[in-house]
Amino acid sequence: MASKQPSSSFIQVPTRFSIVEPGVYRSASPTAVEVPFLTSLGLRTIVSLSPEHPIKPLVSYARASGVDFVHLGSTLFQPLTDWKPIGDEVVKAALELILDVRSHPVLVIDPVGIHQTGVVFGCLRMMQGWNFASALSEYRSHSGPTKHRYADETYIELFDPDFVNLPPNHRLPAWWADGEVDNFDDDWVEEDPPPKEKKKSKKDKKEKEKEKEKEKQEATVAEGIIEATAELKLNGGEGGP
Amino acid sequence: MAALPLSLRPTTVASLSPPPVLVPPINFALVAPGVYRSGHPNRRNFGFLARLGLKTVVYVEDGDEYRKDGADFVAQHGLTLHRFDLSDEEALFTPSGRARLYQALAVLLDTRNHPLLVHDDTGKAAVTLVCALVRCFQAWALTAVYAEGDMFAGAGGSEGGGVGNAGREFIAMFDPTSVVLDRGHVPPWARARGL
Repeated sequence: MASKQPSSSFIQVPTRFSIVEPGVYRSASPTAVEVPFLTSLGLRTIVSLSPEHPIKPLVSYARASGVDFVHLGSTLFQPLTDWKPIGDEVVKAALELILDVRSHPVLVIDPVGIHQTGVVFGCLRMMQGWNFASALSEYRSHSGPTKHRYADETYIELFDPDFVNLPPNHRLPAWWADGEVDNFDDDWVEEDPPPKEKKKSKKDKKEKEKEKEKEKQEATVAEGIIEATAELKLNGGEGGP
Repeated sequence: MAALPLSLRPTTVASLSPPPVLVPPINFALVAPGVYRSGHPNRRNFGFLARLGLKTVVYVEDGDEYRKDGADFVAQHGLTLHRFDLSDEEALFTPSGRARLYQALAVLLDTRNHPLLVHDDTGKAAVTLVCALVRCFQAWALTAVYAEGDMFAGAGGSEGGGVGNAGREFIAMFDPTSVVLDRGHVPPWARARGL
């Protein structure tokens, strides 16, 4: 046999699985071997942003565990005459589910776990008041250096949260910071870093080396003196009366 | 063997000597009329650079001394060399680092210094950061600004030798109106933010 058979304790996690916020997960569409992992999340909802039909093991898992399977991706394959990589209505529907605790814990999936999912969560971050550089950094940590798409990133940058209807306050998740962005760092005083001590330490090293050499020289000189005196003594001993 | 008479000897064929080739510096590009960017130019690039009719060279990376052949080129053509160490992205968030950056931008966005070449060592990181901020004056979308930088260094950020997280953050928060410029000499293409 070329490889061991995976045992039941061998847990396979869906590609690009990550935790966005407490009770909110994202990943690529799980394959059959990855479905057992989902039971450990105790999901209440799976939101699929994929135009594909879900695989059978996923559907049967959802049925057996009473998971609500929301298929938002069916409209994705309509020709997009727009520059937008994903329809506004899909983003709106997904975000309204993500921001409603009644659907938690929720897993959002798409075929590769980068594009549709990345856009939705990039938009969520913008809604949370993240700046674009930070939202982009999260998007790219999932896409890697090669699979990011210009249109996805533009959508996140230009996202307008106004069309998302937030649920009433008691149904908003605990991690949702309501109201204005807290500008607690406004009174933070910028300070120059302390001057570099690199050169100084180099100097110190050189000085230390010099000192060591001096010590050595002194030591050899001292030895010489001792030897000389010893010789003198010997000589004196011999030459003495 | 008797030598061929002069009239029958083959003449030197002109096409045997290679045509003169111009070698632009690594990662060379036009940013906007009058502003060029690149990595560190070397001896081979001087024929090309001489044709740009440069007035100014801006070096934006750390270095104890400007490389000798570059310094010779600058001296030979009577160019002005400005040096601002912008290689430490995190220093941009300190007053001294930002002051250095703003000085560099004031040089870049002054038509009296044009045409100018702004360069660092690789043409990927520090120069991308400065040019990204120039794009902010042109009111480009951040996506486009980052994508342009990725053309030079790839999307790997500082791992690919390009602008890292701190630099991207700085670009996202950058406010072009906070830079003090000589308004009479701001190039027309940098006035998109109503300067």
